[in-house]
Amino acid sequence: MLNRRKFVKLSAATAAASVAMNGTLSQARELPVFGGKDYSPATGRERKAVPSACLNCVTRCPNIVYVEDGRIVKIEGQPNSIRSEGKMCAKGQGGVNHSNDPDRILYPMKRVGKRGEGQWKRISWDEALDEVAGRLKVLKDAGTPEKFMFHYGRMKSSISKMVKTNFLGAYGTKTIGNHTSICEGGKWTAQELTWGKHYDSWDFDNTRYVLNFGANPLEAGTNHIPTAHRLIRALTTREVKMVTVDVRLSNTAAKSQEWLPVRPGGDLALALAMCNVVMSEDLHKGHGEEFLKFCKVTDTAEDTLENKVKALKDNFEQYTPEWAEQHCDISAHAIRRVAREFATNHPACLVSYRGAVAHYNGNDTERALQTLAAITGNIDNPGGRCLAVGPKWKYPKVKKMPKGRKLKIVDGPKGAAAIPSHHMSHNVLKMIKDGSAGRPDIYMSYMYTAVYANGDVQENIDVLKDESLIPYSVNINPFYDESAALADLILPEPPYTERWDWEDMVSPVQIPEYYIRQPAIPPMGETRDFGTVACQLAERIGIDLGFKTKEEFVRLSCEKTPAIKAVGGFEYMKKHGVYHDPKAKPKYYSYRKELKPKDYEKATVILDEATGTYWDWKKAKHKSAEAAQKKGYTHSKGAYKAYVGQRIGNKVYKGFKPDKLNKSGYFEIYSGLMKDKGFNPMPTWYSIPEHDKMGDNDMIMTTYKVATQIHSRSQNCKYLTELYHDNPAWINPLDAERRGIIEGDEVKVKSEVGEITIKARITPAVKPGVIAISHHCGHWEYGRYASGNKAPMGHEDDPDLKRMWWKGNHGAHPNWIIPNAPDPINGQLRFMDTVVQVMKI
Amino acid sequence: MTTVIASDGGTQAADPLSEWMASADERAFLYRLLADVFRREPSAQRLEEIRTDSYREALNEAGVDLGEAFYSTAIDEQVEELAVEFTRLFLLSPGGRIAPYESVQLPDGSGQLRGPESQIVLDYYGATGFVHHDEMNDMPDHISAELEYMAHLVGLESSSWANEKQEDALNAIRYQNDFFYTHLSNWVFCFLKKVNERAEHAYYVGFAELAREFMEQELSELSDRTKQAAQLINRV
Ligand code: SF4
Repeated sequence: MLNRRKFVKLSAATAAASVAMNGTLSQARELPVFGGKDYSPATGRERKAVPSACLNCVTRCPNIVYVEDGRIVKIEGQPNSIRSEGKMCAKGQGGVNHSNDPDRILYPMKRVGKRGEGQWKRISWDEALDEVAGRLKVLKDAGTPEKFMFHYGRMKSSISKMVKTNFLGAYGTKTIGNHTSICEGGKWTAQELTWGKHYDSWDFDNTRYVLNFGANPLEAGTNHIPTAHRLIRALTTREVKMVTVDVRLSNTAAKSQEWLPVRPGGDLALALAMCNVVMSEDLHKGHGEEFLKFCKVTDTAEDTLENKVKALKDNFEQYTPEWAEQHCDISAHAIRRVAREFATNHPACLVSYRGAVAHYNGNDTERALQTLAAITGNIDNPGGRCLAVGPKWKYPKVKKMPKGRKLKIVDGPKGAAAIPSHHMSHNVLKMIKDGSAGRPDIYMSYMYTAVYANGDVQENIDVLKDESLIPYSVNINPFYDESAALADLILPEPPYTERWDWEDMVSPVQIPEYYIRQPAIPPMGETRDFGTVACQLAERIGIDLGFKTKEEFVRLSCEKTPAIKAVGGFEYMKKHGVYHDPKAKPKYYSYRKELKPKDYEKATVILDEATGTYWDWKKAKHKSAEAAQKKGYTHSKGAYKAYVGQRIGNKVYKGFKPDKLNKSGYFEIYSGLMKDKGFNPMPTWYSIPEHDKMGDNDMIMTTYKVATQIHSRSQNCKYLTELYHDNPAWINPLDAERRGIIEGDEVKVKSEVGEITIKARITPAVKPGVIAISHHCGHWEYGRYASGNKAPMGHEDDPDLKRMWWKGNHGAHPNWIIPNAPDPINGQLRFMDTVVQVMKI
Repeated sequence: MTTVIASDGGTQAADPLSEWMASADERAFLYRLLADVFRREPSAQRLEEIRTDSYREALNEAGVDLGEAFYSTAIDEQVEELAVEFTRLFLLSPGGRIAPYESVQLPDGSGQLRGPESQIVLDYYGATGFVHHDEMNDMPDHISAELEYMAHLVGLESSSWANEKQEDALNAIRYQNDFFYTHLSNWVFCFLKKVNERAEHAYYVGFAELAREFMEQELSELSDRTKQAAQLINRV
């Protein structure tokens, strides 16, 4: 509420003096409702407003799509969203171009020439569905459903439940690849190892200090706009201090009070040293000490606070700031100062993302950062790093599913990663090439440009092109991207502005928000939502899913979800787009909830003495309690699904519920799972082997995202690509001078897997020794706006094509020279630590 | 019940809605006052009102001291002085006037009088149901017009609270928030800084300083105000 004391008398005196107001403005009609209305500047007519949801990035902000004369003309934020508060980013607004992209695919297309040659013929949906369903049926009838591989990129919420849970589940294949390892899978695995769940949520509204390791929340990220605008608010209106650790002066680093230009991969040393400062200076006392009750810090299921503190001190003792300075290039003085600031400004929010995590040693970087947040008491508290809260949709499910079968090709080669809990999508094509774990007969990809988005692009192309390795390839796509170009059949999907979905992204205010996506206009041409196509395929194969279209699935989900049903179900959601319970309170400290005896004294629930975990042996698919006890919680496959609670002292708490791994209900700083895999159970320093062997002329290549493009699927948006289509490599003046490179020079960047040519931008905004190249650019397909190349099925109905002043200037793609190398623990693609040589051409 | 500051500076118990209404009223008066200050040279009547003891005290409490001379100079003389000062500051080009328009002052804007920004502001008024009367022969993005527009919006908020139309109050706050952050706040500080630097008369120095302080308070509180109002009526 307004701080009124200062002006209150003046207002009153002004009122008394009745300041004459010969104003220049008068109100002619009522103030319209804010947001949700828009008028054509040409005709003055009101535009149709459709409450829906963005999908230009994974954040999935609720939005309002405006339609004029049947065309999507504008997209705005949804003012009634508690997540976005009506804000949206350029990418979301650029989504308007998807629908009107002249290179959009409007009909099913079948390859007629050689694969990749670009020769296609239009076929009917009946032909396309018969062809795919026929092949699927052959595999299913032969008892080899696993030979159908489904590989997806962005497939969340309702489309995931329709396709993955229901369609693929009922079909019986578990050969399902995702894309998470090229995204943030490494961070998620590390979080699963510590607090169980994969997402985190940053409570900027209530924080007093932000310490950011390698995240760029003001430009991109999993919960971009909902967090970005809150962060800006915290920085500007409450003057919260932010310190950013990054190899590059990102726009987030630039808006921070302090930028710590770290050596790539040195984030781990820095994080360990900050833990050292906190423990050696007893800064854990207070909030941190209190939180340690819920932490596992030693091998013992229940240890004393004294022993926990000793174990932490012992582990971090070696990682002094002076030691870290040698590995991260941040001065010991700065490390101490920032660590102290972070520990003493409670609540403080520890932020991290790919910049810190997509490295060889990223797993322990994230574990060390989780530890730093834990020992300062900044976990799941107002203003801290919180467990994610999202809505719980109920949805229709096929009752009887076959036992699924799978080809072991989604987790990479044996031993390449110890705990790839989010798989290793960048190694799928490599595994297919290798063939030792089998190969799919049908490879179907959905919203995933594997060719472009993975590392080692040439290898991806070679595998996808080779019909002896992949006999039949189906691509589901609104656009002609690099993977579609290598398919045998393209099933055209409408862009998200023409689709149905319910959505469930996490909320930065710790209150769940339900929202839907609905088509602003009917799907153009003969495009069909893949959710509906999956139903049609199922029907042809003889599988009854119980629903026939995506719209029906969304409607049924609205009716099944109590919170939504209570306010009017599907009709309410169509009208309003978003819903949250106005009485809901933000959810913090959920781990502290005490369980009632009836929850853990059930006949099928037992206590695992080794971990103090209560678990349900029946749910864990054991035959008896004895069999379960014998095998133990930790070593029973999938036991995390049977987790009940965590015993601490004489109480049983909800604890930190595991998600994909059999960890206990403690916040595990000490990880028995890591120990089992032969790693140090406590956060530990690992240097990057390739960096240890670097020669004098070598540099480290890092990658990044900009505010106006998403990773790989937005360059067809002309508004965005006009803003950002070229990506000169950032090189520090010291490195440039040594190599005789000046601004704008063409340079060659070479790694062990290839080389690219790119323009140079000489700037001190990148650390010496590092070359930074953004994603997004260097497409060779994706239509004229992205690459200059017309899709074979492109049309000429966009006058802006003639005004495309950046034609021929599409930048360079760094993935040609990034090996598909994983973090050896979690399998994350190492986007940030490739050793390269840079030379002037 | 919460405790709020009453208009006499004392405290009184009030329900949250009347607290919101009182605060909106106070802001509306301030916006109106400032719109008037920058619209035209002050009249003798206006100066007389400002020179009363109670107004002087109120100004002092708001951190504005217009100095002894302001209160002792003959009114007629002061009217003349301020007319000259107003003309020098805002109207006369040779003196390096500070054109009080968003289109001219907006950092990285067009820099043109009647630039595209003027039309955008006019469109904004129009889209929200307001008509700009050109009787002053001035542009819609004049500082006084933008302040007056805010005064209208805050006034609508206040009357909505009074009539227990809470959704309407929130709606008006959302427009205040939007207009303030997309227009006024982007140039008002830079404009006021120039006034402060170039003004010679205590009247404009003082009111520029008052405006800066009030705008800063709005800058730091308006988005929270939107959030809190939405929470209050369970909308967001
Ligand atoms: S952050 Fe931007 S691109 Fe991502 S969902 Fe929100 S508006 Fe869309």
